Parts: sequence; structure tokens; C-alpha cells
Amino acid sequence: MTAAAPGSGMSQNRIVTAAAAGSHEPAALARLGGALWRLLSSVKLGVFWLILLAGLSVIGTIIPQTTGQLDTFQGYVAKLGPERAALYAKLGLLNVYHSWWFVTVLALMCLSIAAASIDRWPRISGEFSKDDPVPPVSRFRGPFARSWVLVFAHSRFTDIHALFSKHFGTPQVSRLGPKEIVLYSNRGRWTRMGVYFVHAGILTTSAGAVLGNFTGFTRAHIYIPEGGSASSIELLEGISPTGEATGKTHRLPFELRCDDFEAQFYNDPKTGVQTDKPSLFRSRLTVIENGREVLTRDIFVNDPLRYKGYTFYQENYDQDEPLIRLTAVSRKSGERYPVNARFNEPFQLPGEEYRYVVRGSKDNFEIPGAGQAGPAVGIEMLREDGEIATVNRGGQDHPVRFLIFRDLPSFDAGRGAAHILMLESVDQGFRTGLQVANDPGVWVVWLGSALMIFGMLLAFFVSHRQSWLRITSDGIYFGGAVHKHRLSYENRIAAFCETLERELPAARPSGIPAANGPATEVNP
Amino acid sequence: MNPAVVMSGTTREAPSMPWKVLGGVAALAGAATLAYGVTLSASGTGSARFEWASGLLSAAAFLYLAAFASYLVHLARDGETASRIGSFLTRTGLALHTSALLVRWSISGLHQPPWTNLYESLVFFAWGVALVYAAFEWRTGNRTAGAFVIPVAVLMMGVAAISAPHTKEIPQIMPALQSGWIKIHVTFACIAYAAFFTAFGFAILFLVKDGVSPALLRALYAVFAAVSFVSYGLGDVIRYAEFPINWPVIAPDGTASSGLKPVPWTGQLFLLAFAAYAAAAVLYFGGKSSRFVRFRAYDLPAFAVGFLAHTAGTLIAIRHAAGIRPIPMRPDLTLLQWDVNAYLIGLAVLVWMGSLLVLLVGWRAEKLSSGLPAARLLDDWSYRAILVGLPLMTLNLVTGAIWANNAWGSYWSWDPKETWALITWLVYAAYIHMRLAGGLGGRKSAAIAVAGFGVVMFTYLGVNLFLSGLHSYGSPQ
Repeated sequence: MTAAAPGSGMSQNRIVTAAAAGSHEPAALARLGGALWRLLSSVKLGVFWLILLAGLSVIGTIIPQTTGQLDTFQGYVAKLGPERAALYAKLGLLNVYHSWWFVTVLALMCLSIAAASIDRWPRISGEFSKDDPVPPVSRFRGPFARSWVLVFAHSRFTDIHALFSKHFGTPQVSRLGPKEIVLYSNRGRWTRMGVYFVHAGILTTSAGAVLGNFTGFTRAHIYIPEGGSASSIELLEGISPTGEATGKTHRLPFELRCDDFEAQFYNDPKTGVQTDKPSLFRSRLTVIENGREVLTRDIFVNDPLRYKGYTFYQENYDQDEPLIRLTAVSRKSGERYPVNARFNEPFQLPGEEYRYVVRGSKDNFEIPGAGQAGPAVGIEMLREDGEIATVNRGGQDHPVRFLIFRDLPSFDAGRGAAHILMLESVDQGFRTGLQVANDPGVWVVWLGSALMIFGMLLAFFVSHRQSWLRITSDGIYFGGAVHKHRLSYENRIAAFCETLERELPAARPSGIPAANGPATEVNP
Repeated sequence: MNPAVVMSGTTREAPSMPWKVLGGVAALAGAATLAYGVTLSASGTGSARFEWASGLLSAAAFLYLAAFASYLVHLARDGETASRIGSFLTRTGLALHTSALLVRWSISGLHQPPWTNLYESLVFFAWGVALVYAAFEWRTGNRTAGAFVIPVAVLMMGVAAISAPHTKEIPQIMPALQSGWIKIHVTFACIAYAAFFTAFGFAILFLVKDGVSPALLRALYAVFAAVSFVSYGLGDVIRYAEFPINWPVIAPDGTASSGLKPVPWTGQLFLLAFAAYAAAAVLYFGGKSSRFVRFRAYDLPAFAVGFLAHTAGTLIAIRHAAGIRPIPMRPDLTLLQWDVNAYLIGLAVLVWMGSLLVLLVGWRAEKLSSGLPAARLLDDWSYRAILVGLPLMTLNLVTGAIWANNAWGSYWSWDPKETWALITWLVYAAYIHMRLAGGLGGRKSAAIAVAGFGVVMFTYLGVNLFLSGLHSYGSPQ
């Protein structure tokens, strides 16, 4: 019935459109506008959008989507052939959730929400602000009405007021005459606004998503080797209809350096042997702005670095060349510098004529006749032209090539150069894989979500209850109105009646209207 | 006018002394097993506690099974003794089950609650089902529904029990899952699904109470069952009358691999079941026209034939799958076969369960109906369960988005699991609109609550089974 209803509404519109086109009368136009407005703001159309969105969403979970991943698209090209794959891409079937038709339905739903909100406002704000301390007599009839015969009831006003307050909240008191008093309590009126909070939340969330889509990005990745740095990132924007990845380079307003990366793995609980299941990834990142180190922080998988609107997430890692950690000690000043070197990448030490380069390493160097000396690296010195430097010793040119040992830190002192080099470690090098996002819409999305949840709680679990009690010289009359959760309101009334009849034994229930039959229905 | 009477629908007679004593025994059993389990610390790895928790879970499963049998006896006969025994067994099972969950929790530590993978979530779900039922029974004094609810818990415990051994261990969770948000997220998901399950249960009870003919329910279910057979054996049942499962294959050169091979007879039996279910539906709905009305009464025999063939085929497939022995050199292959086969057969088992329930309802609809609270109460409870479920589902989506934003770098990535969670949300949002603003109630909204639960089940199990995505760690592999 839900799917058919808007359709039938549309066919009516078509007739009206034809009539309007024929006559050009303003009245016909107004009628068309009215019909369109009624359709747009109807609950049936809202339900139709919800079901349609659910149905369309299913498509994207059955057909694997190519949101920014070229390989999946090429998989499609291989499976369907380039023409059909391009056709699928053109129809938006490979990127359903960003296709024009999906976004259109979303936009139309938002339009419906806005129209319904405006359309219902007069009625709902009326209900919200209504105050009815002296109601018409009709309020004391109907399913919630109760009455008791009690002579001189008005003289028991204080007791009755207390009872009423206990069950329905402190009432407004209207004295209509010396022997006629009406109590009125109006509770939970804010629930009327619940639907506005929910719908405002949905519109806000959508606005946040649009804002993020137009001004931000979330799918950028960079790899930074340990010791290396990056100042620009490649943004993947998606797939062009011809199947190429589209993207552009985005310059960061700062430089990001990876000082260190660490991956830890679980041990097998039975054998204690390390498994390939990762338990922790950690990167130490330093932000460098205008050549100055601004901030250094460790990031983990669920604990990103946020800086100037950019967020850097630990995503993955890959293995890189080994990293040789050295310490250089100046002979003159005694100053120590850490040096992170890589094989075959020359580095310069201040005040030295030649550059150094690490050429190789051994985990456990064997000194003939002297046994094992632990980890060692072989280093060469290079001239300006990249050739190996030489020293003249005994009339012969000897290339400058030497070893340093981790476990023999003073070994290099014998070389007599300006710096003493010490080997700290030879580590497996890593490149940390970071995902970069810059999404100014996130906070708008969170705000919308909070509104939605708050609104639901307000709309679902609070009910707007108005209760009246008329006290006269001959009896007590109860009237009530509730717009949802009838059963719990009925229970509340039942509890009130029970207390009242206990506290005022003289009060006799009189003629409970037949309409409240269901409330007393008891299963045999 | 007693409010308790209005709410519960039936007056509850006070249990006599022996039953009170038995109730106390159930509570004590739970407390004692918990205390023993937590004090077990014989080995540093927690393996003694783990074994203890596994034992408790098996015991709970068997207690639920025995409770189911007692409730069945209660359906068949007059008197309250059988249902009281069933009630006692359910409560004892629930006590042991609770203890087992807490003991498992004590092993992983407070930071990792016992619902982090599919096995754990099945066990947790079964616990939720038993708990909701026990609360319903306690609140209403109605013990007739036990025959229809407790088998669901039995089934979930059974599927969990035949899961591959490695999935039963306390999971070592990957870095992306080590977040405070994920615990909140999964907890909301569990409670939201439980609320929708409750709504589904009350909707079914409402339909029975409201006098929907059991034959109509059966015919509708026959359509669903027949359609589900199309997917069995990935379509091979319909195409070739074959039901393949994953077997170890050892090539002549001695290398081991695994491959799909049909189970003898299951395929033929399933094809027969498919035909019989389809026939039952055709006979029922076709019999509405006066020309075929004389065939209409054959729908029950047709359904029964389908059910028997379904039962036999499923049992044969389980027997063969359980008979697969590990290949000494390739334990990984065996684990893979366990997983794949559990899923291949699991679906047939789930649908079989539904057929059983439909037959039970048809058999004793009168008795079930007469013991139930008023129809409008059941309708209201179903609605209220959805009112609880929808905000929880929203919280589930939002906390999932917050977590994803911290872990994956974007709050929403249209991964199949989150998309299906959104679809679930949309379906129940439509329900609320129809009911709050559209004034829909009664049978139509009950039908949506039933169908909506199908979407929930697909989100919970089907997505991991048929679709892949970021949430793949929810699948057993």
C-alpha cells in the first residue's frame, strides 16, 4: 500500500497538469500547487522514500562498489568487457551511493521532511502551546472519563488536590464558583517537538555529509618511511567514466615526519610463539612548520593525530630498507648527534670534508681467530664526485673503508677522524601507512546525530498528558487526553482511581462510560 | 481495575513450595558455578577457566533442549507440571549460561566483553533470547510460549557448538577493534537486535492471538522456505539436485586441497522439500478459488512431506560434515571446511527451525492462543519493543560511525554491513511513521515487524555470509 499510494497521487497530478496547461487559470495552478504540496508533505510519501532508499541501498551491497578503487573497476572490465563495464559505471551501478539517482532520492526525502515540518507546524505548535485550564464539558466524557458521587466533595479539596498532584503532577487550580473547582495538569508537551528534533537531526546530518563531500576529503593515503617526511598527498577522487583513477596532488600546509614505526604481534596462547596477528601499530609523528618542529606524538590505530583540520590515521605499514641507527660524537666538542642512515644513501657530518655511506651489515660479524663480535656495518667515505675517498699511507692510496661494531662502541676512536661513529642498531625499516582526512563536516554530522537521538527519546518515551479534575458540591469528575501510550496512561488513571477510592471511601464510582471497556479487558 | 492485571493479562497464581525451592536451586547453581569458575586459576593462560566455561555452555544448551522437550509435552497434555519443569530447566540453563559468559569475560579482562566474534555473539544472543523469555514468563505467568521461543535459544547454542574449534577461543582482537567505541557499538547492536527480536516474537504471538489462521501462516512460511531453497548449495539444489559441502581432497601425488562435493541424498531430499513446500503454498493459495477448493486441505500433508525431507536432508548433511577428520599435514584446510560447511548447512537448519515452529503453532494454536495476554497488549508490546529498538539502532549507527571515524578515517564508508544496518534502520523508521503518523496497527504492522526481523537477521548473519566488507572480522574465518 505504501508504494502504490504516491503513484496514485502522481496520476491525479498528471490530470491536473493537463487541465492547467489547457486553461492557464490561476485557480488551476493553485489547485496543482496545493495537490503537490499535500503530496510532498504526506506521511505516505515519506514512507515511500524510506522504503525506496532501503531498496536502492541493497543494490550497492550486492554489486561490489568501486569507491575510489581502480582495481575493482579493472576487475569489472575483465569480467564484463570494457564497454559494459563503462556502461555500468555510467549508470552509477558501480558507485551507487554517489550516483545522481541515489543522491536525488536523498535530496527529495530531505525536501519531503522540510515540507512536512512546515505543513504540520501550525497544528503541532498549537498542541504544544495549548493551555486549557477550564475545558468544555466534553472533556469529561470519552474513554478516560471517570466520576464519583461525593456529597460536599469541594470541602475535601486539599486531600483531592494532593491525590491529583501525586498522580498527574501539580495542577493549575481554577475556582469557577464557591462550590466548583477545576484542576488541570499539562505534562510532557515537549514530546510534540520530538519529531522536529529528529527531522532537524536528519537534515543536519545530511548537511554535514554534503559539506564534507564538497570541502573535504577522506580517502587519501600516504606512506612515509621511518626518518622520512611528506608535505603533499595524493587525493583519489574516484573513477572517470573511462575507468581511470582521477585525482590530484594536495599540498599540506606543513611537513609531517615519521620518526619511528612499531608493529607488535600476538603470541600463540598455547605455544608462546609469535603469530602474524597484529596486536598494535604505533607511529611517532612530528609536525614541522616553517622548518620548526611544532609537535611530536605517537599515533595508534584508534588514536589519530589531528592538526589544523587534518587528521592522520594509522592505517597499515609496509616493509622498507633496513634502518641503520648511528651516533656520531664530535671529538672537539663531545656533542652527540643521532644519525639514521640507509644503505647506499650518503650522509654528511658537520665540519667533515667527505661524506659517509653505509654499504653493508652483518648480524654477527666473525673476526677470524677472535670469534664473534656481534652486529657490525661497513662504511665508506666519499669524495665530492661520488668516488671513494683515499688516504695515502706508505706511498700507496688506500680507499677509506672501515667497520664499526655495536658491541665495541670505542672501536672507531682508533680511526682518528673528526667524529667517532657508533652503531646503535640495524633495524628492519618500515614505512608507515597513513590515511589522511580533512572533513569539516564531521562535527555537523555528530550534532545532527545527537539531535536525532534526543528527538527520538523525546518523541517515543514521553507522552503529552492533559488531565482535568472537576470538583463540585455533588461529586468529582475526571477527564483526560493523551496522544500516545494510551495503555500506560490508563494504568496511571487506574492507580489514581484506586487511591482515591481508598482515601475517600465515601466516594462512589458513578456510571463509568462504556467507551473505556478495553481498559478493563482481562484475559479469561 | 488492578493495574497489574491490566498489564499482564493473566493473573499469576503463587507457586507452591516445591517450585519455590527449585527456583532457589537454579539461582544457587548459577552462583556456585560462577564462583567456582572465577576462582579457577590453575594455569596462567586461563585454560582451566576456559574449559569450565565451555562445559557450562554445553550444560546450558542441554538444559534448554530439555526445557524445550518439557514445553512440548505441556503443549500436548493438560496440566501444569511439564511446563513448570520446563520453566525450572530454562531458569537453571539461564543461570549456568550467565555464569559461563561471566567466566569467559573474566578470562579476556574487563576491556574485552564476551561478544567480539560470531561464535561469542551467537552465545550472547541465545542468552538474550532465554533472558527475554524468562522475563516474559515471570511477568505474565504464561508458560505456553516456551515451546516456541526456547527452541530458538537451543538452535543458536547448537550452531555455536558446531562452530570450528578455533572460533570458540577468546578472540585476539586486531588493532582496529581495540577501541572503547567498539564495545559500546557492539553492545548497542546486540540490544537493538534483541529488541527487534522481541518485537518479532510479540508480533507472531499477536497474529496467533488475533486469530490469523495457522494455515495462512504456514502457507506464507512455505513460500519463504521454498524461496530459501533456491540459495542452498549456492543454487545446486535446484539446478542439479545436489547439495555440496566442502571436503578434503587428496590428490594422487599426496597434496591435500579442499573442494566442494555433493552429500549423498541430501540434494534429492532438498529438491523434494522445495517441491513440497512450493506445493503446500500453491495448494493453499490456489484453493482459495472455488474450482480448486477441494485440494486445499492437502496443504498440510504437502508441508509435512517438505518438513520431513528437509529434516532428513539436513541430518544427513550434518552427519557428513561432522565426519570430516582433520588432514594431518593441513589443519588450516580442516578449519576452512568447518567454517564453510557450518554456513552452508546453517541456513538449512535455521529455515528448518521455522518450519518446526510453524507446525507447532498449527498443531496447538488454540492452546497457545488461550494462554496469551490480550491481542492489543501483544500488539502494543511489539510496538514498544520497536520504539526501544529504533533509538538503540540509531545509537548503534552513530557509535559505529564515531569508531569508524577514529579507526578508518571516515565516519561512513557504505560497507555492506553498515549499509544493511542503515536498511534495517530505514525499515523500522518506515514502521514508526506508519504507526505514529499513519495510524496503522494490528495485522499490517505485525506483518512489517515480522518482515523487519528478516532484515535484522540478514544484517546480523547474512551480510557476513553472502557479502564482504570491512566487517569481515564478523565472519568465522
